[in-house]
Amino acid sequence: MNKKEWQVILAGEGGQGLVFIGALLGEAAVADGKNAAQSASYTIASRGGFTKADVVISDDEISFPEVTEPDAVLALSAGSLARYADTIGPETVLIYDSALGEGPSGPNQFSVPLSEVVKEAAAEGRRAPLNLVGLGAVLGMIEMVNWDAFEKVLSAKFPAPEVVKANWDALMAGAELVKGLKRDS
Amino acid sequence: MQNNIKFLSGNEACAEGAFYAGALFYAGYPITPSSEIAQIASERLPAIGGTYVQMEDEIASMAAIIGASCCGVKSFTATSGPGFSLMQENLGVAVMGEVPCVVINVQRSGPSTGLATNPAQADIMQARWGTHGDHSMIALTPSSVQECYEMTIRAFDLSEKYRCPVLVLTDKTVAQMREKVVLYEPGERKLAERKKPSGPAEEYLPYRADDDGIPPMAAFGDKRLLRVTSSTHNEQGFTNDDPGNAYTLIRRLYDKIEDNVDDIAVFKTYLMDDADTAFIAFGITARAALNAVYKLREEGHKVGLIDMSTMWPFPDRKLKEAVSGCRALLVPEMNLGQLVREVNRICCDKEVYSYTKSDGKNIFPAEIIKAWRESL
Repeated sequence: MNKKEWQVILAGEGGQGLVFIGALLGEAAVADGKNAAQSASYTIASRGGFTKADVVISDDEISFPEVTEPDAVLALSAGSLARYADTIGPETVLIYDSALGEGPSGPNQFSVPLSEVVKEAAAEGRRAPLNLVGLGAVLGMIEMVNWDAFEKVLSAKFPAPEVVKANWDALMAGAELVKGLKRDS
Repeated sequence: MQNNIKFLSGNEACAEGAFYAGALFYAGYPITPSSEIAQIASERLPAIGGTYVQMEDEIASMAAIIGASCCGVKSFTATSGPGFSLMQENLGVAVMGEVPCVVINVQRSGPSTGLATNPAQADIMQARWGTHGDHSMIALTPSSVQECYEMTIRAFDLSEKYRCPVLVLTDKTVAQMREKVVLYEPGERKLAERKKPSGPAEEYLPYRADDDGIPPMAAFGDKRLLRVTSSTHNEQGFTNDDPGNAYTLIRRLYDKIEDNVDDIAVFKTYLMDDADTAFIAFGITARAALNAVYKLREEGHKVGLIDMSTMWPFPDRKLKEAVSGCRALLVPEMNLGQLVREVNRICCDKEVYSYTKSDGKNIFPAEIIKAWRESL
């Protein structure tokens, strides 16, 4: 983690909780003693429609709060996958839900079974939110913020311990999915 | 995190600023992208003994905060383009009646309902000239979440000090982005309060100004009688059609702000000491311009930034002074060229370049760098 600044795009559709995980990532970064900025783009629809959260994390002052050179993109919808597949550089890590079907497969582009985790949890009567699983996968690939900070922020956000645990477990499950996958940097 | 360090959105920070300033009354009609302010006010104000009223529209919202302020309570509302248009008439009432209040306008893409979820910076001339008749206006333009907090507090201070409405003009991006904010501890920052009248109650004239041009303000229900009318009035607060009285009043309302431009209008400068080109910007575009300045400095170019911070009253003299060493000025803004008109007006001896964008998207640093290269 020598790099001073990280830029992440969390993309999908309205209602998927992308702004929530963007804010969570930013808040965890601040709790970790860094600077962070999170901005969002969304349509007038409350469900559906292209939505994304930008997160910039830095040890220094953040002059411009939007992402200009993403280190990682998470795509949770077919529309967002199509939007970023061809426009990001080869260095940018792209993580997308394998449930979206066939997608790009460059050295930094990974189809990850995020929805499978959600389904498996549901089959066992648990809840694993897709957005948290996705964020976990991004962080599993690039650990830009200490995991402890997420535990702290989740505990402060949710009064119910079982909700904290469900979110934490989803993050961990996402990170587990990308274990063994190597970033080509 | 320490308790006073938070990760907040611009809207949340505006609300926190209002509460810190002592605001206890909010009346509004929620509208994207300002609705979070109404939401927070509805949760927090009743809990601290204040009042939240969901109004039928923005005309009524503005009327309600004027009424509440006349009762001696610091009051505010928040809105976006279409609602800001509806507020213009009663904004004039607040100017004429000299009623302190704060209006937060989160600028979104227009005209009319436009692109409801997209940013713009196209309300700055409406902010200055939107309500009819000769008047001045105070409008602050934060470019970070920290500034949303601090400038909302300052907006209340200025409105109390000068007895006038004060506008906080954010934009969709600044209002809904989240950043680290350091909040003040209770009592840490001094707050301004409106001047209260003294002397015998029967001698109180609600519009007799002190030497500073500002009359002390009684509150409805005090033993001193506060009269408020939107029509031209005398010192007693009765309507009066004498031309001399009209001119004296209009002049005073205007001068109490414009004569204090140096106190009210502050801007931030970045790397201006040796700059031969200055970018002049505000709100989210000032952030893009700052990023562009840092990148161009890395290449050895002598560029600097002026982040306007205060749009109105316009700091003619101070801005002219700040750019005196520059050859060229570039004004990027998310409208078809509103701020550049003011820059041209006072810096006509410089090369003034305009970069405008009005499609609901933010201006990015790379666009400013490109505009700078093309203007050379």
